[in-house]
Amino acid sequence: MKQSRRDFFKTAGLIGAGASGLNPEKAKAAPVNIISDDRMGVLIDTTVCIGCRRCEYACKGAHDIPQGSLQDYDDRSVFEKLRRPEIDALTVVNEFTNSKDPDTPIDVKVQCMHCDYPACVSACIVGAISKQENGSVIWDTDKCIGCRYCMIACPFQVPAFEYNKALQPDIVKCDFCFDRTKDGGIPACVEICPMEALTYGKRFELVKLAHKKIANNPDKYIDHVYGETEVGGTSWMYLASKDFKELALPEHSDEPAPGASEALQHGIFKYFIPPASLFALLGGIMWLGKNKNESELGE
Amino acid sequence: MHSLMKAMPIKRNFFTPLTILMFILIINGLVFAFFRFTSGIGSIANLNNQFPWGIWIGIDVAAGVALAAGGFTTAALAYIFHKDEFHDIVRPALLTAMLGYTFVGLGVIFDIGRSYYIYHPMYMWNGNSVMFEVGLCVFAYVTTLYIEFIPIITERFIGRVNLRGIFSRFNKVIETVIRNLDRIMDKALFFFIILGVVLSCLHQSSLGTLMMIAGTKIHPLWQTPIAPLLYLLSAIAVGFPMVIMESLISSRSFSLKTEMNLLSKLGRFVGPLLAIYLAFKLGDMAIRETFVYLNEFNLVSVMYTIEVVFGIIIPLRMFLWDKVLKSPFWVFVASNLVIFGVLLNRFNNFIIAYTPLYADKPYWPSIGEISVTIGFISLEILLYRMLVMIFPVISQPIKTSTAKTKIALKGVIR
Amino acid sequence: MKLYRKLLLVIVIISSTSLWSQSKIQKYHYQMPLNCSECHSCDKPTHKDPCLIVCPDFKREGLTLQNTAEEAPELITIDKLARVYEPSIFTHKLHAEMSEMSGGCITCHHYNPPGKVLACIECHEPSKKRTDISKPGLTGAYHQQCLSCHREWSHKTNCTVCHAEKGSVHTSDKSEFAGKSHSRIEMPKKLVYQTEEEDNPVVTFFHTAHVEVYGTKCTDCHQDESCSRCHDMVKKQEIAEKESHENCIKCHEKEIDNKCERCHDSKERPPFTHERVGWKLKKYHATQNCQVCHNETKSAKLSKKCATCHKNWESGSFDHGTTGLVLDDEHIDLDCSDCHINSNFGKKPSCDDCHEDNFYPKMKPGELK
Repeated sequence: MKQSRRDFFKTAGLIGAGASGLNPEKAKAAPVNIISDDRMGVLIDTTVCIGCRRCEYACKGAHDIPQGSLQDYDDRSVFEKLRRPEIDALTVVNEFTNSKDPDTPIDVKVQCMHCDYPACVSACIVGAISKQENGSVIWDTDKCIGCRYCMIACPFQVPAFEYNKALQPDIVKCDFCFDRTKDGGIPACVEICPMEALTYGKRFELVKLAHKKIANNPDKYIDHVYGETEVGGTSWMYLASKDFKELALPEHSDEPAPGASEALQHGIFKYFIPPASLFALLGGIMWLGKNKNESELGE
Repeated sequence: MHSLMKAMPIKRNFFTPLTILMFILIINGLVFAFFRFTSGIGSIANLNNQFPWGIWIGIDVAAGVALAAGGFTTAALAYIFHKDEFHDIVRPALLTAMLGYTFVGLGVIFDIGRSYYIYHPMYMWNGNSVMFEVGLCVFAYVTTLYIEFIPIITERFIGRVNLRGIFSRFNKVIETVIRNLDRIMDKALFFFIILGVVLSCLHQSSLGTLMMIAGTKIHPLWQTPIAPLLYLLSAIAVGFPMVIMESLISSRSFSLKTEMNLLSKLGRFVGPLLAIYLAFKLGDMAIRETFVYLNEFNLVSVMYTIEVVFGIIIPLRMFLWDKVLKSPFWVFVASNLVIFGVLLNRFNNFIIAYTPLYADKPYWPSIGEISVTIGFISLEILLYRMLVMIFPVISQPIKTSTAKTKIALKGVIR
Repeated sequence: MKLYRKLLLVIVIISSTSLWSQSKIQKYHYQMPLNCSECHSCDKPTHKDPCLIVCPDFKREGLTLQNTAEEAPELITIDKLARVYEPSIFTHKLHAEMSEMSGGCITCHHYNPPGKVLACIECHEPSKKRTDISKPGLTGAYHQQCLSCHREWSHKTNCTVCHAEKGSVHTSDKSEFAGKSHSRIEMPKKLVYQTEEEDNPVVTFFHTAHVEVYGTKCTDCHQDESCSRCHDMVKKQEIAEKESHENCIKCHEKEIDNKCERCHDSKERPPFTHERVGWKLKKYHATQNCQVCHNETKSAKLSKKCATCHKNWESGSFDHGTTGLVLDDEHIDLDCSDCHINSNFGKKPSCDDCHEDNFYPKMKPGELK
């Protein structure tokens, strides 16, 4: 009898809308959140990935993180345990057994999914995080106060935090190589990938490509493009030969992650009408009571 | 009866074995605080990328805000609903709220990575962020509480400004300033009291929305669309028990006469308030059919059961019992159960119910986190003790009946 | 005279060209009888914009039929992308030979239009910033091709397995790679499997007989063979155990269901001879595949009567010459059963009705071919 997320949001939306008496609408102070039709994305074909971890190497290089030597990345023992993006590794590859063909394990690269409706953007107290026109979800480190609410909000548990820094600890996550892509470059991981398991392109074209790949190889892929609709859609999407749940990619509904809380939030604060009315109501009660008291005293 | 009472500074010895213990706890907390600010949060806290928030948010902030609710509930009762007999307990409740929110702010300063940017949300707005709303409301409310506290300060110092040496020339100016301040506050206090209640309602409820964005990471027993309402109802319900608990402790600690008559009256409100809270909580459970999770025996179901049974149902029954309301001991126990219940609710919602996607081990607060939290609580208690010794906060029976002056009614709206 | 010679030369050239063009495959695939819309989405595909629809490989079968490993270039130096590493030397011919067990040329030259064999770069862009995302760039194309097998084969994905570090070797020296060829894939005569069957664990499989006598095609059993399938001994055994029934079931379904003893025995079996079923095959019959007689409709036991198979053999229409004996004029008009008593063609013919003594086989009613 598990309550579905959809139901939850429906109720939440109703309550939010009910509280305001109006439909939820974007607040003026909302941070940048552009959903451009031409936004870019990456399609990760996990059936092609060989787990060479060159993407990890290139990513560090592009983000001024010490890389070490390229040979270090041939060490496959790191796959023994599940790794997650960290402050010194914005993307990591995990390996999973392939029951269909034990000789070719499934490698899955993990990084920020760059949601179309990012929970972190909605959550950020200072509006430091933004969804850019090219699809990147990036953050302005000068604004960040280090509250880590984005980490709580993230439906993929991606952002990492520099816990061991006393001064200017920062939120760290994949920025879709915004510094490169804004000038027409391609992300470092996509550029280095020898197998071209990562395809960088316009998101809508990638979606088409993904479905074409599935249609052409129905035995190879499961019929699901992870990220096409999850949490309202993500810029990074996956193809795989087995259920994404078994590849440590969480199951999500199609509802945008920030949905309910934003609806409630705007419900409570719609043009400050609810707080102002509450103020007036309390003032009225107070004033009436005062008159009564005075008349009692007068008698 | 209250006309014979007057808020006065309490003259007692500040140091007792207990206060000395608290000093030790504060110093212990300071040691860890030193490391927190010199080597980062990670040096003393068990926080990581899976568990970004621990007890500093779950207890210091979330529970702290809820337990400081006595301030606005009492103010609303005494001033907005004109239950004048409760005026004597407004000041202690106000002080508790003021200190409580100050420490919420301190907790936030400890928890956020860049404490020195705490002012950022003031001019970097994100209207979509629940936390932004909570933060701004809490800030506004703390300010309001400080303003509400001004009359107590002016009362203490009017006619007593007596600086020595070269500062003595300022005595007259300061005297004039605080007298004027007092006069202004006399007129404007009603505005701040209503504002305080409104701000409280807003952020107490928004606090419940805070974890909603975590979606499926929060256990369905707590992840409900009516969380804001439950938070507000529980905050309102916990306000009076907090006042009762404090009043009983301070009267014992300072060997004052317990105002059982007043506290019983206050206690009568708690039962119905708890009943409303319980009704919504169980109603929500029935509608969303989350009771299925109670069939399982695990940490989550046990914590939820404890929260509801010991934190709501048992104290609810107790507060509806005349015997309990008349007995200082039992009303103390019942109040503490309510406080425990609400504290546990916040703790559960922020910590127990939160299951990150890739945690390899569960969160357990570190010695450092616990030390800092205990240090905060100790400091708060000591400050309370100190302030009631300096300022006229706690009402005591006055020995001479001639003291019914203007000052005695300070803070009462006329 | 001179003019005559010139004319002759022209005629010879023209005729030889036309002959050559008929005998050889056409140079461009658009000259072939193909349906353009099977592979192209637009009406006028150009080299620059071929507007290809990704189509399944079987449509390009022609490539393997028209090209053999023998024609393949021996070594190919892949240096288009050599930046970090020295160029790779790809033993093309060796790989072409190896591919014969699986898909042939199209294993790698997929989506290749029939006719000219195209290099990877003809379709795959060398730039990392692709304009057409529907197919991988050149780097991806190379690595996907190589590693899909090599990864399985060596379980390694290190770059240095194929690439030499920059400056570490002189790549102009190709002697190390030259002249290599895959050892001829030899067909085993028989394979003896020890199975887990308790009473009769031994299964003797006559490989040559299946191919040469029973007419089984290689690809009936060997589909998409990878290197590791043959070279990884552990895996080979595992596959054999797992797939033995799967491979045999296509023909031996009944036996697998309930006649284990048809294949399983306590010891190795001698090869099958037709004599064992009571009819030694001779002459023409001995040269035939089993399927000629034992086809789908008449599988197991056949009657020895000629008419069972040779249905159109009737007196008058039957050319006795096909048996090797051309009947002479006296005998050609006789009825079959006059000599072959009761139309039993398996038995020795009888001459007793007309001739005394045993004429046959001393004397023959005609001439041996």
